[in-house]
Amino acid sequence: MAGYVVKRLIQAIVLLKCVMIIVFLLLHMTGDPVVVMLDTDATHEDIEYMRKLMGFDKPLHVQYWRFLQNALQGNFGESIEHGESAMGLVLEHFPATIEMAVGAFAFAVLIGIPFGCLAAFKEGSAYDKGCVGVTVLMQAVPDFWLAIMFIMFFSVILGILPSFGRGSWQHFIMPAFAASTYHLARLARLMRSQMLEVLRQDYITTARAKGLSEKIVLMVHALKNSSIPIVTVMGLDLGILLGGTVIIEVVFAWPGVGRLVVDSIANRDFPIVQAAVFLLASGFVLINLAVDLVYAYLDPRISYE
Amino acid sequence: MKRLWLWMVVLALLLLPAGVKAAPKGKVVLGMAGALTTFDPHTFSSLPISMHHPNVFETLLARAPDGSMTNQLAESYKMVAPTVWEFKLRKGVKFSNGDPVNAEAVKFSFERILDPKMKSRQYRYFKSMAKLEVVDEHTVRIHTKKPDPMLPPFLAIYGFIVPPKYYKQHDKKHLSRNPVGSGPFVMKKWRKGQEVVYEANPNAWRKPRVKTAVVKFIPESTTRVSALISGDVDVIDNLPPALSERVRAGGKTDVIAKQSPRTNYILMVIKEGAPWMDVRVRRAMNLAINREAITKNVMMGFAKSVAIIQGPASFGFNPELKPYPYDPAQAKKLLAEAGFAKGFSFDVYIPRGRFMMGKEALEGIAGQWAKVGLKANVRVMEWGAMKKIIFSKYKKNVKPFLYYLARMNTAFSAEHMFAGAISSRSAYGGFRDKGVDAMINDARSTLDNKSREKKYQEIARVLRHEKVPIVPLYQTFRIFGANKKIDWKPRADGKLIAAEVGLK
Amino acid sequence: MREQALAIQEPMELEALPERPKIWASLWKDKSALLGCVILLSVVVMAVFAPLLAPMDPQAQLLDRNLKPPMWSDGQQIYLLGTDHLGRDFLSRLIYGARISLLVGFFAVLLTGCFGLCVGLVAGYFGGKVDFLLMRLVDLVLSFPFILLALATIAIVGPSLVVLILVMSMRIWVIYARVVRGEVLTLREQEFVQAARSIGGSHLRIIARHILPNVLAPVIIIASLYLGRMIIIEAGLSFLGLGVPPPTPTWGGLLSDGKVHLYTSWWVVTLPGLAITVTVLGANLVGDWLRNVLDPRLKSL
Repeated sequence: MAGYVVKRLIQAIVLLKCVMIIVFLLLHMTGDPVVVMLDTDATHEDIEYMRKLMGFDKPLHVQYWRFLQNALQGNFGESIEHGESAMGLVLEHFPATIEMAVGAFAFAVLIGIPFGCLAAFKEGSAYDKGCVGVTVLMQAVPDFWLAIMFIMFFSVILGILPSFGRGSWQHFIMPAFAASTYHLARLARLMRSQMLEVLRQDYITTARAKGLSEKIVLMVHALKNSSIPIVTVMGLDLGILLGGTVIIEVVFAWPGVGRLVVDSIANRDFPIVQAAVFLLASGFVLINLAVDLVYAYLDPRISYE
Repeated sequence: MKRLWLWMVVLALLLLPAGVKAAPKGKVVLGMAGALTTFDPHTFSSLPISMHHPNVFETLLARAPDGSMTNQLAESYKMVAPTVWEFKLRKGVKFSNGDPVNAEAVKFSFERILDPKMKSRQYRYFKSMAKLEVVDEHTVRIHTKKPDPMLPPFLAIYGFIVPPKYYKQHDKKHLSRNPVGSGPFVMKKWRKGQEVVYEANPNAWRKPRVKTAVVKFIPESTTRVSALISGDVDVIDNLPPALSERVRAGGKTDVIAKQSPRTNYILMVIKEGAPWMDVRVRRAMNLAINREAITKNVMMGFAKSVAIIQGPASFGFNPELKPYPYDPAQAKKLLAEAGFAKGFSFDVYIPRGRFMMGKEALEGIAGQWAKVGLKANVRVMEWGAMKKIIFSKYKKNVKPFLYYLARMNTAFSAEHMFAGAISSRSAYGGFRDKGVDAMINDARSTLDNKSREKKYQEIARVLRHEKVPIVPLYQTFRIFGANKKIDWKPRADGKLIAAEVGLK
Repeated sequence: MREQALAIQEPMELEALPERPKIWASLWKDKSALLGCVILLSVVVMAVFAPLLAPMDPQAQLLDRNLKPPMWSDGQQIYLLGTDHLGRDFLSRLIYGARISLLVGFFAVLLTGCFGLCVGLVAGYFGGKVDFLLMRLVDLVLSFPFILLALATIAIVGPSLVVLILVMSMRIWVIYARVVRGEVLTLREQEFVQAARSIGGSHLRIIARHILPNVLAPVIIIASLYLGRMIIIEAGLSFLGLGVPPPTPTWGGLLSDGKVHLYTSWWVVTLPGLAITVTVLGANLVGDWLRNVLDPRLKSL
């Protein structure tokens, strides 16, 4: 097991390095930060002067070498637009992103899984049909549209929730729920079909005769075996939520990494983008590893030796 | 009776200073679109910075809300020689940490901007400075490399004065988060990307209008409006014209708008191979646009057509020039005369989400051009990417194109606009004419204000009637939404400065 | 690893796609699937015959009749769904918008399907180093924040329909690749494949004859399930201003143009949102049904 984890971590380092090279090249292809830095009243001389001062007149490989040397020491340089440590800034915005990702994930899990299970238990009932209908619809609604509608309804018309920002738990409800809709619905539906399959297993049906408590024991057991797809989806969801709530962050003025990255790309603030991608990709790698380890726990047939 | 009046005046005079000195009360919450990146007053330049820093810092000169030049930390100033400006400083002013505002502080502040190690983006405004000289505690002289009549307008925007001791003691990171200045507010708390909290500065000589001001950063316009209507914030900036009706209808909120010196125009890259090398084509492109329809229906009345690049608020404005009329028949005729009876097709670039209703207006203009046979492909670009295209404009293999820009006349002067859009040295221009260049240079080096103004007006006339270098469109308004309890007048420069916002 | 985990699930019954009559019967029985088909078909018809169905030219603008409510009439024509901010007929724009939304969704799905299928086949069939490298490529793509990729790419090459489709495809192909690879891993060990190999059949022939038909089902299912997702992603990118440039109407574009009219002209923001929701709903229902018919094991997609 330990050997496997070490192997995976080594792979992760290579992966992160590749990601960083791609980000570096991609960003430098988007153009020159100096051009974006100065307003339209700048002359060619002003731009040239600034370019020299910032070191962007050097050839690309020289710039990359400098970036790599610093990045290896965990130093992503100074933000062009903020004038302070890029990684520091990203870390400052990271808690908000985690809060939103974990919150949306919690919504998805805490609502999606019980509702999915219940629908399976009452298969064919009005509740089940309603559940299926709502979840199908939830998967079809664009989340940012829902977000705008939420603000209009809950903040402007009803006036019960704050319209934007981060702070109290009230601030958190609308963005986290809007971000979770798709994931919540998908998880609920997966849970329902997974549960239905469990319920149809022979030993569960026979256990029905023997009494309720045994049935529950068996079901938990059966569920554990068939929960690999659920864990897979949950892992994917958490990864997506961590790096993909930009639109929700923009709509709710949520001070997360996503918004910082969007602004930084617009400003060609390369150090921030590089630091943010590094952090998000690392998070993804760790989630992936965790998911694989959970597999081994859930299904003893999987071994990592 | 007379005596009674006298007594009342005396009484009023006695009460007046007391009223001014009373500590400000209350709290306002502002929702602003642009995020603030730093509180270091000398390294960066951007619109959010120029709206936030005046709360905490002060400049030598300033713009009054009506756009006229006033003194701030300077008590008076004069040109003692063509290359020497002398400033007498206001006496008894202190920074929020208790240090005095003196000539030494002024000298230190500008030297900090000019220092290449600071990599300051404000350098370009003050690059004409040669050295600063402390004459006495309250007198400072700025020596320029050559005569620079444009210096005072920039001294009213940037060049914030800071206490030397504090700024020498701390490193850049500390300074970018912990500003010390002489402004009406001190910065109490700042959570990046979220909010800034200002608190009244007890040492300030200009009091803010409330005790506490909070600025929330809300990038999405619909959210900003929702926050205003639901009462979460009291004032918002960048209100989209389309939402103004809702803000007005709310009962508790109202729209505050004022024309800003921000001219929207379409620039033509005039070079070999472009149909618009021919001045008749350029004139036709102007005549084919119905500016009134755009300002009325797309801008919802929050824009005013202009004849040429600068508007009425700018020095050198020529009131005799009228915007191009809407005359599609004449446009067609001119096109036919130039040999383009069937029209032609071309690309027009516009940056995404940068100018108020810019994309919508350009789509409307493209529709109007289509009616005279001009097929414009509207290309919405990311701003950085578009700048890259603009800088490639004179390359041989690049097809001539047009682009939509808005230019803020921060210096309130024709000079600033000509240098940025008309002069052939301009990085963002597309028009190259030696005659016009010579006229601009001649006007700039004229030190006498009256004759300089005359010269700028003449340049504007030549451009409007003879050269037609651009497609001038309109000046947009800065639109704000405010709760009715707010007492605030919009500024001519379009800035929303928290220290000026008060409660009724 | 995850791919092993997928492969370890119950062994697959090796039957080709179900016969046609069975499919139609199950469609008739499954009312929600039928609804999905009807919705999707009507949107397709709307898109294909847009020039015939649209009452007006979606590009024709008249600025002084802008933002008129539904059922507004100028005396000659009735604007069934009102007009947009430039006075263009909103119904016509919605109908034409279906074209781009479907086009983007369809081509993105097709492109990702082909590419992901190839990668999955190659990785699963050849295994070893090829497999290892391709799967690391998949990890690389997955760990890259999508929005950053989209923003940067569109900043470099400028927005256009083709670029949009490519950007969206860059992320989704890995899903096909993973699933197909997992399927191929189990198939490879099956007797009939081993037999074909011992006779000396070329790799290409074995893949084409024996493996490809058996992995088509998951590809079709993923494609149908992701069609809706693509339409939503397109709308999201349009919302950030990265969508298909004007004047081409797209639902995402209409939505992002319309959002500033939220409080004054409800139709320009509500209707495109509804159009997207209904279409995606249709696509999802069809996808669910295809999955149930073709391969119920692929629940987690």
